[in-house]
Amino acid sequence: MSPLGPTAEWSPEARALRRFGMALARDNQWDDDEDSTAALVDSLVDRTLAARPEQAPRGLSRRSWLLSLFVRLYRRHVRLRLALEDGDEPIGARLIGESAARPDSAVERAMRAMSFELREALLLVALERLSHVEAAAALEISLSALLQRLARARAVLAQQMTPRPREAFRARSRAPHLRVIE
Amino acid sequence: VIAERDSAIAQALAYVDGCLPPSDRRDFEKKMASDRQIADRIEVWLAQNEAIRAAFRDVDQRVGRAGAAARDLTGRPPDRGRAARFVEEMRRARPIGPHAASAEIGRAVETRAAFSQAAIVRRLRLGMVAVAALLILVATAGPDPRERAAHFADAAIAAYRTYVGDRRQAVEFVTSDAKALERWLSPQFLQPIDVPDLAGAGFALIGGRVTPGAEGPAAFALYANAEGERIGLMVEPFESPEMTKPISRSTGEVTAVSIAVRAPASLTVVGREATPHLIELARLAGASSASR
Repeated sequence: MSPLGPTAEWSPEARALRRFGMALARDNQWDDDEDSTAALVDSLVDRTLAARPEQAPRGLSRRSWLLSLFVRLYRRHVRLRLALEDGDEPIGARLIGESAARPDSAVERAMRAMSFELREALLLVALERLSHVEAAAALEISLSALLQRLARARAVLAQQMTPRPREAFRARSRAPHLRVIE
Repeated sequence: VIAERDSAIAQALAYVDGCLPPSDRRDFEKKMASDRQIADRIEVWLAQNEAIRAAFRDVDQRVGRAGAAARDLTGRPPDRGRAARFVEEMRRARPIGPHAASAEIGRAVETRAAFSQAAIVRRLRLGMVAVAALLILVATAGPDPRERAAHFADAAIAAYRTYVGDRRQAVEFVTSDAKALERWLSPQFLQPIDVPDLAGAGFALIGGRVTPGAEGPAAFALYANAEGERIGLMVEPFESPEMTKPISRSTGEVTAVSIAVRAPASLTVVGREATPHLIELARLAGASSASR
């Protein structure tokens, strides 16, 4: 079996990066399929893990450093892609929830619809459980900027996951009518 | 007021994300007990954390590694659907090569003008032109097959030295699936590229890339065995006469063995293995390609 074969053979470090990468790179903005997203993420994981450990800054754990490298590589990808697609279609023109047909959970749909700056902050803290200080260092932003992003991301997530009044009405009308039978 | 509100939000976020020291945490919990609004917000945010962890717990497992890591410099993922369709169309289409084309022309000539008097004269003229063309071809013939094979071996050694030791750049397309690599490579060469199976010799595919060959672009597939030793396999499309014997070249520890396969391509195996082993691998790869 190849050393770079199925993901089950990956090191825990590589798998954790892939999990974070898949969560980060799934974005309504691009409308990529899962294979393309996985191909992108795997490439970025390879490049991240190829970094020399002596390049790691002092005071940052190896895990935070790798996540930080991954985020930087992903940001670079986004910049290049935006530059390449400039003029083809206005960014953000697609409607939120366009990918509702995909078999995702409500959280995944909400995360796809979020801007990636908010998504990367929330994923580092909620999914990867980095402390606020570590996450701010990984994203190369100030602690207050991180807190602002987290607050916005949580507000967006709450808004996306709360059923709108009309949907709530439909859900209620679909519920079976129960009667008390004596 | 804004600063106070921001501070309260920062404290709530720190509580939810486990960043408050224990003493501050206890104080915050007391505050939460007396303020329903804060308690509700914390409950929502804690539920968000749980939902995110549950949703993405196995997201890395949902898509296999087989189609991974084909990149150009932009990092843009390849359109595999389009590439696959292209290869399929190419495979369905009638092969158009010099031999097929000349056979086609020959049949047309026979049908239309087999018994005409003028055709005999025309054939004589064509024959003279063909003889002249053959003489010119002989006079300007390129290097003999062995010499060309040596060039392929040199190119394979250069590719091995350039890419195999470099973990970042070793392959452009990381996959253990030979078919997936063929689907990725073939459109780039406008002809089907066979990626041989060397599992019988204990070597598993790692991925591939396009690299400069001896005379043009070449496909370079990389394999590794259980000990982590890597060998490269370079396939360079060109019209070649059959070669009966493999050609080997060595530079330092790296040896390349080049053979021509039945398909219009050269095939070179390169690595740090002993020459007889590489010859064996080259023959295995050649047999694997020829059997398709």
